[in-house]
Amino acid sequence: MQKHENNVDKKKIVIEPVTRLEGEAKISIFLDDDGNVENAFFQVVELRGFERFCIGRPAEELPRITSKICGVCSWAHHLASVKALDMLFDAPPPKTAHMIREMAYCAHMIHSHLAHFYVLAGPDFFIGPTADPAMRNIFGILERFPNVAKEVIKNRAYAQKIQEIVGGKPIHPVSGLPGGVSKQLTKEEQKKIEEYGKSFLEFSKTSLDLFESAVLRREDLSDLFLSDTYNHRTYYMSIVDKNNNFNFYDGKIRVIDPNGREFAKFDAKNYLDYIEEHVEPWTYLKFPYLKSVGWKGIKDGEDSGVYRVNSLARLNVSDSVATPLAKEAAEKMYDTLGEKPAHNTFAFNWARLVEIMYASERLLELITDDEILDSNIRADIGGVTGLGIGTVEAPRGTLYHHYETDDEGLITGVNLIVATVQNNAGICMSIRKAAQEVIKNWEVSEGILNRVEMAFRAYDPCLACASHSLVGQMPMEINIFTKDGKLYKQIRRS
Amino acid sequence: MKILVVGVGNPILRDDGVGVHVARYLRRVIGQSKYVDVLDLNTQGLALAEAFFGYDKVIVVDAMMTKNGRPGEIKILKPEDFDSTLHATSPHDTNFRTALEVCRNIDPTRYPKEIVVIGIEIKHTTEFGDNLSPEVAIAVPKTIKKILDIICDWLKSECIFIYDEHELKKVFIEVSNIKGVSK
Repeated sequence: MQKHENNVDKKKIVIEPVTRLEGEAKISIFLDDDGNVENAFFQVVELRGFERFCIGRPAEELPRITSKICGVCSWAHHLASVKALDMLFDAPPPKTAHMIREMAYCAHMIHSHLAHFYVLAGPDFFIGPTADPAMRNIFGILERFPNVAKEVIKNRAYAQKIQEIVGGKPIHPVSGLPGGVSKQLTKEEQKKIEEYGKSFLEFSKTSLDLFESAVLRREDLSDLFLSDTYNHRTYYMSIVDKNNNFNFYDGKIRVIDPNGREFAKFDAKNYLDYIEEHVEPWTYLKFPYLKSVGWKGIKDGEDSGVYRVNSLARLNVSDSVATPLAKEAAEKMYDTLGEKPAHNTFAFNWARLVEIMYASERLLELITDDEILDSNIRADIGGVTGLGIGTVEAPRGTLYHHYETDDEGLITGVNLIVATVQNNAGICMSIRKAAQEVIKNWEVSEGILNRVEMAFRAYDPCLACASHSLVGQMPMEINIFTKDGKLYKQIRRS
Repeated sequence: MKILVVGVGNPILRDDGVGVHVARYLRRVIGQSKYVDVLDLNTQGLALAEAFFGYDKVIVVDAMMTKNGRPGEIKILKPEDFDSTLHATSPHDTNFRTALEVCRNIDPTRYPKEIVVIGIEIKHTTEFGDNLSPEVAIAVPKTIKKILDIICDWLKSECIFIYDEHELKKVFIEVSNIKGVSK
């Protein structure tokens, strides 16, 4: 646990993170007899009692409650939740309601992906993974690309404004209702959102160009994307539209095998026929896997039921991309990577850029269609069916909300499968590979924290949902154990 | 002067949401004001720091846990009191200090000159629930009092703070609008 000391009124206060913060990212690495990496595990601390908190509440409260699970993914939870209620209350929304929800959701994707790409993953790529840590951060980006950093903040503010216009509240939307949305869009709002959308589109172009000039043309960086080191040949899952192109908001769920062949395609409501969850004693995070392939441990390959979700998974699963510029960007990505599906974990970052472009184009498509102004934004409730299952593609991957109620619509059961949990096995595999690179014959090299962090950061994991804190940095702890379980070395972020 | 008070935290993670509880009560106390906006945000890092653009001064209220802290204890801090590391607080975010620096660098003219952080020591935080522990709940009115003191001090040249018996709430009134009141 790291400490830092503050002088406030000349009195010394020691602020130390405790409880859930401490446990946020604990990585355990196990060595074999020769001092090489045998296994690596990623652990997060448990937040207890979510289901108990929901049971007995009217189901219609859940979009408001679940959107608070996480300050980062609030829209994803809100929409998965209202889609579950559409089914639970037998209220298929009118087209305009779907359009409004999807349009705002595109803004959410842009908001989330911009932060990840530029602020979190970006420094490793734009400044370089081996660069001086003092520069390899957002300040390095600010110094080297000051205008780009300004555009990031500006466009995030625009995305935030769209979410506010539609959602009714900053950060945590309240506008989604079973059967539709609560608020119609005005002509003025349409015009404003279109302007913001044009700004997103321009910045998406800039981002892709910058990626090409500042990353792909540098050999040391393009190697990261082309080397086999971080390849995991897994299954992939995403929501797709009727043309088998990914869609963030709605469609069937499609799974492809590691060779790119369609393995399954199903309606969200049947997800339990396809997904099961494996439990390990050392972590509360479960490991979802493909039921018919089976759980074979934390490993990749066609025989292992491990699948991955998130940006690269969506592109891998899709036959193409539904909007022209994003389609072009995706084709370029696969040409460079040399395979589809692509298995390189760092390509998740690249795919995120393609998705920012798609989200911008899709948002513009939706907002410039005047049907989005229609006043028919909510369907009548058909009745209480007792079961509601809703899915969306969260920025981090497929998100499932599953509710059961009694005849009066009071919650009797809740099951959520969040994106990061589905990437749990993938994250463990990537950390293992990163650790294998930096730990050899009992020697632990200096760069371990950053290499391990880069590996799991590619998944943009959202961990202890709702984690926020006053206490500075994320405590990252790596424990390296010998085969007989003795602690060999402990590395903490200092 | 434009002031933002933002209560941070997760209102369904028990005491973690104490900042949100403070913001909600404060909003009732102050009502609509041209001087003060009150927000509750379940967010951190960059999204939190971005919310400060356009304000002159900001008060952040958040839950905190320190080594020897007693639940309900209130500490008034500055952003400099937090870690100055450049690493992330969560893999999807930067820490608060970094986020502040980024935003200030990008547009210093629109960024607050002063930020005060009020930390409230908490007890329960790994359990879902929308109620506060009693010892933490007691801190809510005390914190509101402290916030009002800070705001009144900041605004003392511009307005005074009175209790509006008609509206049953406290309001800020511009000094120039009140006859016979000197600052």
